Amino acid sequence: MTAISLHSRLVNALRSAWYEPTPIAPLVTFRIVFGLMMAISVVRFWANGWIREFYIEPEVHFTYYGFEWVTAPGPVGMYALFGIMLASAIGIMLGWRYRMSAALFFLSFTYVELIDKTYYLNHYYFVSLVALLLCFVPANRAFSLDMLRKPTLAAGEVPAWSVTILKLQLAIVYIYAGIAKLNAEWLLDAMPLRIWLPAQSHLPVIGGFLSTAFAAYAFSWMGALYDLTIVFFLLNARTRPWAYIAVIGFHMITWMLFPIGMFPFIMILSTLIFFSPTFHTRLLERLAAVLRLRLNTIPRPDTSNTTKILPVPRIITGFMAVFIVIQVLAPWRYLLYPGDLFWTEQGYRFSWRVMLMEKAGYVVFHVEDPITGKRWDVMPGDYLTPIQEKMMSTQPDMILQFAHFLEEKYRAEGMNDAIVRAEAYVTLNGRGSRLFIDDQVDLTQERDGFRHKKWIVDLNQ
Amino acid sequence: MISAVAASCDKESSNSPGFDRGPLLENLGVNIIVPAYDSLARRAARLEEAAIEFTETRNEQTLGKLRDAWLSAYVAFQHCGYFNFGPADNLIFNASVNTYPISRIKIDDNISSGSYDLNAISSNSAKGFAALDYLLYGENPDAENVVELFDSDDEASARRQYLLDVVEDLRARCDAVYERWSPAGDNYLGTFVSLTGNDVGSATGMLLNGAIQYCESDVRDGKIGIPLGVRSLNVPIPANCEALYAQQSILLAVESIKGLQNLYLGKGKTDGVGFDDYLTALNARHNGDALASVIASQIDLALTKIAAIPEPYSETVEQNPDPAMAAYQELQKLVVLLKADMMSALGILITYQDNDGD
Repeated sequence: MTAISLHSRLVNALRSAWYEPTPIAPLVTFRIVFGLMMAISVVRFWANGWIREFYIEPEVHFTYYGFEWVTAPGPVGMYALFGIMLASAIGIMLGWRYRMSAALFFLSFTYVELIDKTYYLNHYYFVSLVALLLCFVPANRAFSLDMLRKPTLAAGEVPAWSVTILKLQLAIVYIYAGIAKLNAEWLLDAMPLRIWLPAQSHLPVIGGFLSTAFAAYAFSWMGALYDLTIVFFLLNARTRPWAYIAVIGFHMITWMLFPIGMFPFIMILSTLIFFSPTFHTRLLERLAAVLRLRLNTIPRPDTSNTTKILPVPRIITGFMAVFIVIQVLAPWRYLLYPGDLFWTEQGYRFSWRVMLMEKAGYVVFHVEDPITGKRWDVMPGDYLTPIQEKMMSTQPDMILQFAHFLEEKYRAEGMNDAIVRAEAYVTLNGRGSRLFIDDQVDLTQERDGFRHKKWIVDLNQ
Repeated sequence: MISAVAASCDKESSNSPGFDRGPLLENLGVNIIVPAYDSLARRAARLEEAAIEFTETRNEQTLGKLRDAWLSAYVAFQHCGYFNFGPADNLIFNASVNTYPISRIKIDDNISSGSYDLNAISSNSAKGFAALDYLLYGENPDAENVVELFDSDDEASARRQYLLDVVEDLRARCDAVYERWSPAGDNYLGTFVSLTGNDVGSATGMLLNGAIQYCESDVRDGKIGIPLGVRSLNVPIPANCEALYAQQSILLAVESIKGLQNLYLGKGKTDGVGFDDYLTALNARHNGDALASVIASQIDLALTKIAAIPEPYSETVEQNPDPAMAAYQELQKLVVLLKADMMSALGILITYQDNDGD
């Protein structure tokens, strides 16, 4: 094969994945299941009392660097935010005022996530990214309330990019989750599954098996293999049905073993997008029949011309390119920092590192009045909820934030420049607890940021 | 052939490292928790008898017996404080029998006015073991003086009534928590041993979350750290000592650590399955050593250091704080081992929140 023909094949593939028309059905299914899962997630979150527990009761919140302006808006505001989130999720599902619904959902969801990094989960990050993408894709042009309101919207086909971008997003999630597992502790020590699986020894039938080292290694290797390859098996029509069975099996096992909430269901339903347009058209026709809707709500794609190209605004192509490049690069930013990634967690978030470590810690803050020289201890539990305390005690940026919170608290009480040191011990993947933060450093003199935090004690020191 | 089968069976049993939490819970419940509450309830009943005897026959001898009965019940309580979940949590047991420091003003007022409701939460600082400490020892613990207060003082009769009411409240609460646990009563024991999971609502989860919390705030801070001033700009607060008037703070703190030790090792009337065995079965390590023995040694060390603190603790914190600070630091290390290392190794969750693995 010559370089030119390879080049032209690549161009053709890109062209068909981006500009050619493709039936809208997969996008419609995605819109409906995403809206539905989000609505259920919001109701579940609400019913569990988590709005109050996570966002109203805590006295302090750990904001993200650069997003310090994001604050919890009080009880009424919080419930209003979740109300907007719920309504807009339903709006996405029904395709009602779809763009506004998608935008409101993205904004309300992301705002809530930014209030406190204590609750950071990769799957919340995934939801924010998908919600942002939904603001751009024309998923409301079939099987939607918008279409009834404005029949001219109806379209049987959409430009391929709007389906491709969602597949790309899922591919990034899986493949990076797989790459993250390619480390010595996961593969050679079967950590942290060697800690987590035996804790499930009470389960009937499989409890005994889960306690074996074999199970930990098997789950570790299968998990890595699954994450790295599943997208390719889903893309291939011949392997797709088997791959989807694997998707269901994998996520249901993780759901049974670990408290990961809605994530398994979101992934099981999201990966439906890899199925063929015919599959989705049939699915929607059946749904229409069940709901007794008229069939013309799903326009038939125009199959007369298969080589035509739909116009895609350059700004969209440009935005999507940047969106993908950022996501492809972000998980590697940890390479810019010295030290062990799991230990320092510099460059850890927003990188699809899921279920990778068992980390627990304990931290006491030693405060000193520089004028009197008096010293005393502050237990973070007096100010934080148990989950905030647990998360803070293993994450240096949160420890720093808490030290600054204490400095401000004492300043308000009339003590300027209190010295705040942290005595923190952390255990990571079954290593014994050891000193985590340099306990001689006055943390009030340190600033948060993207620079290396020199006051984190080296893991192997 | 037979030997081959036998060998393979043998291999299978030794090859299944699965730790069954069932027997652990059984031992903790049957051998430790229920007997501890049983012992407390019995001693509280003897305390009540001694109080009745003292109020009827007021002399130094009956006072001595009452004081002994009080201390004996107080010691028994030290072993129960860790079970701060389930029935104890529902009954707010710990706070309603052992809130200290007590409010002397409130107690004196209650005696003078004769009108009080010991069931009110606001009465927690006017009753329980600490209120008895004040009533039976007080500012001037001289036996002759105390007998006089109960015998010939202007308020002697009201004081006797208050003593009886506080003791009765205490005894009733110790009975109630035992009743909740007892298989002959509400049988929370049955519930406890059936919750074999590893989530927050499991028996292991509730017990450890409650016990470690108690170890932090009631033992390390309450018994040692707070009187020493570690939470108050280094200014000692001697009035916050447990058993302040009887000057038995260190004895009770030592008993409390023995309670933790028993719980950890699974030691009750017999030496059964404990968390040390659990950690050993999981082969949990701590920087090269077995975590099970690292924790056991740290408990021993904390015990030795606390026992070395001179009584009365209320004077030690001001005049000779070093041994107390040494004990506090060992307790601190113990809390790290329990809360970080042990909880991590056991895979016990601390909240119901969704989690994707840190």
